[in-house]
Amino acid sequence: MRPGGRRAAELPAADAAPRRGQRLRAAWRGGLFVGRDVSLATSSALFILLVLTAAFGPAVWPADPLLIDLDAVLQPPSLAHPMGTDGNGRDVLARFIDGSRISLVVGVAVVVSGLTVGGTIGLVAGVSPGLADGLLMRVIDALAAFPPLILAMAVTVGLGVGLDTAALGIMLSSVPYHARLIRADVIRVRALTSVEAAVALGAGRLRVIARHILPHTTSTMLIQSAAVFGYAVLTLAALGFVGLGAQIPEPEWGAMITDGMRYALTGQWWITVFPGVGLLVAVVAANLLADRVRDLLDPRGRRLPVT
Amino acid sequence: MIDRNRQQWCGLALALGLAVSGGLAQAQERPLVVNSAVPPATLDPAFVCDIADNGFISSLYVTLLRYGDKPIAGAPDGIAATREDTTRFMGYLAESWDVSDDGTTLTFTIRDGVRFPSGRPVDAHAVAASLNRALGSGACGTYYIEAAQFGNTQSIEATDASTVVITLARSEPLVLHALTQPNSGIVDVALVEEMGGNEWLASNAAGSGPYTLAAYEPGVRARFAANPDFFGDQPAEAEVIVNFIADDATLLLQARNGRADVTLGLKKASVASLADQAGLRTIEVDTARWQLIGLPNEVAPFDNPKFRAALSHAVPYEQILRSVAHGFGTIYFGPFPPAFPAYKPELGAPRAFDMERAKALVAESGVDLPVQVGMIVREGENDQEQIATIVQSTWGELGVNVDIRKLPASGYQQGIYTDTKTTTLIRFDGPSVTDPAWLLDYDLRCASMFNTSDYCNAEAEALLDEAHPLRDEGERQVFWDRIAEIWLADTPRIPVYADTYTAIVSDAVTRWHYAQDGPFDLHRWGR
Repeated sequence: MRPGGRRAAELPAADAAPRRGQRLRAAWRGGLFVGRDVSLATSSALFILLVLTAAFGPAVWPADPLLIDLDAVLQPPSLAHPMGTDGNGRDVLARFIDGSRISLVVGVAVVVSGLTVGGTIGLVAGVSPGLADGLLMRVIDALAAFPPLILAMAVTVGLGVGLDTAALGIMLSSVPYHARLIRADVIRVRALTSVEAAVALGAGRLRVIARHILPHTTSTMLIQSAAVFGYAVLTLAALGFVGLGAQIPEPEWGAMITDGMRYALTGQWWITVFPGVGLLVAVVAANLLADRVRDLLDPRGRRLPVT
Repeated sequence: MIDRNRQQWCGLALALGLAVSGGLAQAQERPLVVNSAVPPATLDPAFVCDIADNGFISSLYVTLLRYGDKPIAGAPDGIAATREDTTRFMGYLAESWDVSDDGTTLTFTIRDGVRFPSGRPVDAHAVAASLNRALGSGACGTYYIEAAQFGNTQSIEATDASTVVITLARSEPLVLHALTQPNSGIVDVALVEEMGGNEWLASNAAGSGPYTLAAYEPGVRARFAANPDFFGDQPAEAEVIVNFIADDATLLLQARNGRADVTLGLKKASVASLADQAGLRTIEVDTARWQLIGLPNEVAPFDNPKFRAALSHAVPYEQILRSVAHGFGTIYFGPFPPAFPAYKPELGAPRAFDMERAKALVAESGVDLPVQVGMIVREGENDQEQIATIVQSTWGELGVNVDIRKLPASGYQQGIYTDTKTTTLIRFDGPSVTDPAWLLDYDLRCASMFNTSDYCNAEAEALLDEAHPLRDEGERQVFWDRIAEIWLADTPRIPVYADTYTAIVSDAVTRWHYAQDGPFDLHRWGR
């Protein structure tokens, strides 16, 4: 039983003060639970850090990421420029912050759109055995036949390089993963006795899907979303690295790493290292989170923190 | 006791001496190693077009003429560094030559007793066959042999075993320049035909130059071995290995670790980082090559000279030179860079970076703002990308919004040589022959496909036509000055800076020569 879940719902509606207290206690217990789980705590903290950087970074460090200052090129980290400046005298910290926003927005957009498209396909295929399932899955097989990065690159090159087409390419390459997982989960849930009972009691198809199947696939979606977020951020950086993602002068992390590569051996390490660390942190946080959430939500292999 | 000590010391000194001399001998025995960033696309003299490729084959072939030498000013101590003196011709395969009074008949007397490695004689018949092969190639060979005056060559004939006569329809002094270029190198045509034709020659050599091509892996490595039958002085190095390393970081690491005697093609930031590196020296050569911003002169609003002039004032030249080229260059403004013989400081002074002036000129031009325009740069050319980023920022202040597009080599070439240019572009450019007529023939003529800004000025082109047959430099200069004035008023493109060529050489290297086309004059490099 998840802390605070059903127990809170069982309380009488009129008893507001105790309910508030119970919620606080539940939150505290939840906090303690996360705090005791090193892996979960670390990944959550890193992820929150990424979100905070993207959300409040520009307010805390209001430098213009595009402002060129040719009198201050390749300056090492200092108080004036905590992450130094690049070959055009632009503030690397301001660009790093802007890059985190791009990564976060693209990551979330890819997850939401990929989940919507792939999840819908998986759901329809899962509940419609026969022709629809076969047809949809062959389309997914065709998409999955391409290596994800190659597919993303092909879409980007075909539609014109840029952030939006890169996001579209990444989203398209993530669809097969969502679709296959959700379909497998739906087929598993469909065979549960509770679902069969609901059907036997005369529940309509949409009601069965909405009330009995979808809730059971939530954990799968959650785990897959965290993993796809990391994949999206990394692939966006890869596309930016080869010049197919963000275009000049947008400060995307992959493009920043490429830009800094030429200075890597001439001593100006900061141009490459900071966006590289940002990318590492974002991807590790997303993957750790996905792993840990999977462990926690999987009833067969649940590994709870040692208390 | 004293004698015994003396004996020990003598023995030690002898052992050290032997070790040092052995080490030196070993260093001399190992091949000269050259690391270069750019591999050639082809080795066929008739088909090489890129300036880097041209130079690569120069040690494999001999030409009828060559340029004289002059020392490179400011070369590091301990190295005899020279460069071409493009105002002075010398015989190479030709012992002597003569140009008729009307300039239409060029007669060359070929050295006696020269042979290709195949054993065939390099006589007048072989020379005529080779020059006719290049002339008929329909590629850069044609461009060079005719000095861009297509149809001007009436015949190339061997009148006897030692005389070749080139007959032109009209006088063209540039032909002598063209005959110094690797594209007009003398090929063993019979061998090429025996081996299956042009395809074979693309990755093999059939010349009689100071080196033969002992081994070649395209894009990876080439091994040159001294040609024992070469008619001139033997090269200083019996063997030279050229490694092609496209990655700048690897090239830099190899240079730092002493793995190369000569390193070519390093990015300027990397060159600057080696300034204090022990055991390495940097040779700098002012060149007739430059980074430019091409403007689509036939497309509105770039067809407005005042608008173009405004853009030229919105480029921070000095700061770009400092931050992009790391000081390895010279700023100027005009059709001819300072390394050109026709350059005059009063007609080539740098244009001021003045945003107020730029804004005033935009207002005068009557162009409606904002203007949206693309700017193409070649993928992997970091310097071009950086210049584009800076210009995007300064032009943005004028209301000219630049959309930078990084294109792969093929797309970039397509964008540059398209019939009507619609975008601006950043390009590294320069003629193989450092002569104003050679440059303007491709850069100024309305019909030229290499006119990367679609610049077309009838008056300037008429002046170029008038200047072409002239042989007196004083007479020609009058025309170059007038063309420069017209060019400055039109501002058809924006030269950002003239490049300073850089080569990194180890302390062991004592001789080095720069040729405009190359600079792979390997036979003139040595330890």
